[in-house]
Amino acid sequence: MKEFTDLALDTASRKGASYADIRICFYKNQFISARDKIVTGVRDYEDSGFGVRAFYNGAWGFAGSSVISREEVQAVASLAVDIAKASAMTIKVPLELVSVTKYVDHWQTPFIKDPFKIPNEKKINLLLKINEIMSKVKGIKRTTSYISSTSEQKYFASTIGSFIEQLIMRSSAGYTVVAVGKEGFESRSFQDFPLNKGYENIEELPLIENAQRVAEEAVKHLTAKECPEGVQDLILSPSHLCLTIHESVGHATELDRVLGWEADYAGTSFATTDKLGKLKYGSPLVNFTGDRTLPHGRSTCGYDDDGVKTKKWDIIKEGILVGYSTTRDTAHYIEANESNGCSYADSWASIPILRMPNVCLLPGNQGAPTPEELIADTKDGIYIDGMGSFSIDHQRRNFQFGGDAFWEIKNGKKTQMLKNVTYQSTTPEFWGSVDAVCGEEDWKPWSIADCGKGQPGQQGQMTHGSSTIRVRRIKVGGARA
Amino acid sequence: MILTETEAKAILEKLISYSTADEMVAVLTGGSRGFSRFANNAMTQNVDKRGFSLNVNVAFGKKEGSSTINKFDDASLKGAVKRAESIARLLPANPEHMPPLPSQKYQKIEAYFPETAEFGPIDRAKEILKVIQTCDQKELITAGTFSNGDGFTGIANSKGLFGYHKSTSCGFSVSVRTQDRTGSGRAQQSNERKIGDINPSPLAAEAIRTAEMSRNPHPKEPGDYTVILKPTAMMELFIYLLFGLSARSADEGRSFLSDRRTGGNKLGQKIFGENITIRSAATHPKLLGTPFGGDGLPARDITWVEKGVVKNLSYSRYWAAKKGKEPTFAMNFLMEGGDHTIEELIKDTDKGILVSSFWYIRMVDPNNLLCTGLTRDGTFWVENGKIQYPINNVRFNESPVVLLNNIEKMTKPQKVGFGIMPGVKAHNFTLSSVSEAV
Repeated sequence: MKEFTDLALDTASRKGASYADIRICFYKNQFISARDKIVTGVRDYEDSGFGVRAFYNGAWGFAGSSVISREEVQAVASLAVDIAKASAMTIKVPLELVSVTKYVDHWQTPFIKDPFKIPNEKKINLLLKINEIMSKVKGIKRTTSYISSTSEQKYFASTIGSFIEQLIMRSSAGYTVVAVGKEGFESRSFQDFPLNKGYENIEELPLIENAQRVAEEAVKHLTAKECPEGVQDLILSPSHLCLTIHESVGHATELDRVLGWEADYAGTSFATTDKLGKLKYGSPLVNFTGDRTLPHGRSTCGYDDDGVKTKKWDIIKEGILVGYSTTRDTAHYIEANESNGCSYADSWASIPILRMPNVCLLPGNQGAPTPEELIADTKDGIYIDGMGSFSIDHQRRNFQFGGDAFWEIKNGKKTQMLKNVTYQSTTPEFWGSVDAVCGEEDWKPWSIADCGKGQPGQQGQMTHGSSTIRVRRIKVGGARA
Repeated sequence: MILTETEAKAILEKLISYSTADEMVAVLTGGSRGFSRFANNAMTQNVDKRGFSLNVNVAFGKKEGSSTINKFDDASLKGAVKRAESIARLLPANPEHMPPLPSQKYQKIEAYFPETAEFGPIDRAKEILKVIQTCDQKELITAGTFSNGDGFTGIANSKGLFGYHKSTSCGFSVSVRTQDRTGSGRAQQSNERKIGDINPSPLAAEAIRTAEMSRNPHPKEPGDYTVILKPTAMMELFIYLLFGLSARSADEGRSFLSDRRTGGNKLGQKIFGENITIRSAATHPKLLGTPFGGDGLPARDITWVEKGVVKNLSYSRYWAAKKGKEPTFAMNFLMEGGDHTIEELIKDTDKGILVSSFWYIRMVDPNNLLCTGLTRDGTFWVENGKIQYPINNVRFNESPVVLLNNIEKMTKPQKVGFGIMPGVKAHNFTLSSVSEAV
């Protein structure tokens, strides 16, 4: 690989780039899916190629190719510089890159079992068994299940002198069941923690154990009581909060969005830099970190795609906005001397952009309630589990969320299931209404496996761990056809 | 990075010759794409990428396997075949397996224009620069994209089917915000084939006009309102209807098109207003789609809805065979419109809201296609036939099924992305809350 990386960096430098890097990437993906008794796919996908990024007069250029040869590396590196020169035509204020240390290193996801070495029969049998259990529940009309495995091997080299090899391994599994009745149809899913681990992640998941319960809840969902309309206390499980955190905190604190770089499509953010250190984002119980070192987090790696060593930092501390996700080309806008290491490209063919790290809500302090104690302490409320419908405005304030399953809380007890539950709020109002965060024993690392961002769109993945929380007096219901 | 028909055919034939399976279907795709982004009145991202992908599907009897690679040397081709075959051998038979199609006749669609493929990063930068300079002069903040590229698809199977299609595509988007961050506008062209059809300056002028008009918006109380949806907004919500056309989902009770009384689907039933007709047209000159689908089925003209009546649903080959129907799929969508302009719809409105576009639409309840989302980049209060003032963006909770029953008047349809769509005036559109986002 060094032969190719040296050639690319030398070519880019000779053509005038003040900085250049190259990623040579090899990806393996396997997606096995089953519907009812049918294996609907065992899809093996291999992809490789390289991308060269060149920096010229404060502007970026990028080019990539799937053909890894000396001639192509030279041509693509040269094209990247030409593109950077074209970009520089429009630059009034050149971009600045904060400094980065030179690293020569190897890093890989800690894993025990390579998912690509596990026999496919074993995976298929597991999925068919799950579907069989769920299909036996009366009222179930469709069952689907999947196992996904990916490996991302990449070699990063830059004109700073870094040469970093990384192997990132990801495994996940899940299933969805649809119940049909005279009332219509309803679904329920088992949404796991997709983690950066080997096949041991699949084996550790209680997939079989939950299949019947999940199917039965889908059937109960059909005849559940409609969501009341009004103001309610919400108790939100970590599996649900994952998406709320992602949309209202993770995206809102990406510095490229804040700066307006995503203004044409994904939008900007209400959490602007003039509010850093001042904005009351939530109640004093609300503490968020960005953390690309979280063990087995979906966004965890040794170095980002700027070649920056990954780290952990505060984003919201005791309810106040104190930090952002940053990259080498955004960090100086908040007068930071170093990047928080959030650069990532989803393919050799994609330019690295700022991607959300693992953004996690810290658990409550010693003496924090358990979820059971929280329910017992709630007179009227709704308990929400799992992820459902989600929509948020392009500055990440006004939002509406659903969920996967809902229960009414009456006089301290979780009672009957509800259906068509949605809640509407704004980001500061919602997080400012948090009056309880459960303790560390309840903290779970739920994750997003398919976050889209950028133009052209790139896929990202990140973990949003949390404990169960209670949010007081949030508007629910009202979404009716 | 286009392979010619001859080159694509040679690779596919070689691949098929390596197979020991009963059947093989292979799809080869490739192309190149240049993509420039700008924000805060400067270029922020400029990329060029090229590549290929080869998808191999084999079957022994009804046992299926597949693999995908992006290299075409002999070892890679043989490896891909071997991997797909080993998967097929171990899998249980798929009772829904369909044999490959015999050779098909495809319509010729000329969708490749060299000048689009040859447009380079400097060309894109020059056009972007003009837009930036215009916004600089007006002290406005702009962001957007300019992309162009080419692509091809070759499909072949072990029964002798072969198809090849190549195309070019390009698009431009521009967002504009006022310095006080209270006004915004956006305009775009996407999925165009000819670079000459892209008109950055008029698009920028439209975005600037909307941004300046939408400054200092007023909040509007939630409730049911008459709305005028521009074609872009209409398409953004309409897409959610198109996702739900599957006959199988309807037959199995998992769709808004399921008939709870009969246990079947709503084919033949009138579920939209009399003024709603929706079609697909394979060779429409403004859309220039692909002549075949993923499994080699020829694209054809289909009427999905005629005068409010559901005339066709989307049938996979398996479900069509089971139900005694022709397989159907949509390459594009065209909704018939009226003879009006947006200005005439405004003039015709006593009280209502003009919506330029929507944002972040998501399904809330698939039983009735209830969706939520927000307006974006230009929302205005209309009263007594005139735009009176800009209003804050608003969240809606509404179903496109309800919308298609409440349409009073329509504009002439125009191209929006991969479809042809009118602007509409419709009553009782449900708005739920106000958003301060600009």
